[in-house]
Amino acid sequence: MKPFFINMGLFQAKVNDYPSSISPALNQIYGDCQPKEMSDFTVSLAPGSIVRKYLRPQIVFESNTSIPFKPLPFSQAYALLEWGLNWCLATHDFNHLLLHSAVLVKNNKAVLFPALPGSGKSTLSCWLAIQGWKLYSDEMAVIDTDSLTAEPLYRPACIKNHSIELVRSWQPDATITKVCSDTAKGDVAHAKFQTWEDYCRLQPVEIAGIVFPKYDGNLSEEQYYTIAKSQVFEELCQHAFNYHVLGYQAFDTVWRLLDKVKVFEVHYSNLGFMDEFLLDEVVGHGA
Amino acid sequence: MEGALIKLKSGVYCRTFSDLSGLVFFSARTCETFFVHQSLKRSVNFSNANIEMTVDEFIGHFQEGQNSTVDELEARGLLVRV
Repeated sequence: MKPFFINMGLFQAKVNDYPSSISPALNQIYGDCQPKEMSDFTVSLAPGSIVRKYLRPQIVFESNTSIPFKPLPFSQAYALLEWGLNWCLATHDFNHLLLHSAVLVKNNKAVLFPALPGSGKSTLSCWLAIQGWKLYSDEMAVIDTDSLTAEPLYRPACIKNHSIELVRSWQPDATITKVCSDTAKGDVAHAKFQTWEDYCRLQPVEIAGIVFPKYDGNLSEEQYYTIAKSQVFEELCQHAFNYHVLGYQAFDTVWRLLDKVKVFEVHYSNLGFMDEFLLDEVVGHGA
Repeated sequence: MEGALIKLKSGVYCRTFSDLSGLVFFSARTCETFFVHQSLKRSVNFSNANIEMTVDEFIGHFQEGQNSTVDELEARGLLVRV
């Protein structure tokens, strides 16, 4: 089998070995990207063991001879590849500050959603992407430590459980991979909201705000408030993948970033409210 | 004791937030970050380890300053008494 090249923008992974069952998903998500000459990571998805090849088959993610995760059921191969690529970035990029956060851009300004799992971050990101926001990343904010700008990544959004059908209902022709069932996160699929051509037009942009979204379907009225920056700093330190590797550089970057951006916590039940709120309070309505 | 001079330990950085919501310290030796979540009246000028101030002056930066803050910062190896 020929290697498959995943050009994520800042980095490229060469997938040496993978089951043919994930070819449709690979082509759906990364089939249009233009490979670079050099790859940063060499990864593979291989059967767990000879026994596991036949009895309840498993799949193992390997990157440059490291095996960071336990084997998963064979049917979860594509999800494992995406999670493996997240691991590759989080453990190898020491030239940027990496925050566990979605990054959405409008009017040339970025908003970070450094939310905890289950807060509705990915669903919100997909909704905003469908409303015309640029999804720079669903999972990881890549921040330049000098310019404090957010860099775009060519990666899909990871949607889970009920959100999969929601995204399909919002955009019936959305590019969504086949659902991987019964993963540790429930049912998982990956959705793509831009083509490689769209991605190539994206530039690093200034970060205008940090918003902690909290979805609550029972809420009668949306609520938002600013949060103390000292508290946000502590949260961001916990959300940074490489804070301890970058050391003082990360400390200084987070502080400089926080000093210039707006920070909010928003409790919402209406996605349309979030779109308006972000335009009114964070990125502005543009020229 | 309140008149004693204090300063940052070498390799320790201190920053104030623009909303005066507290202080954050970073030790380059241990790569540890420590937060003081107390509202400030004005920003604390501890931009480098050569700056000295009295305990009174330091506590005076806080809305509700306490000596125990200085003791904790000292115990954590972030501040030293000169």
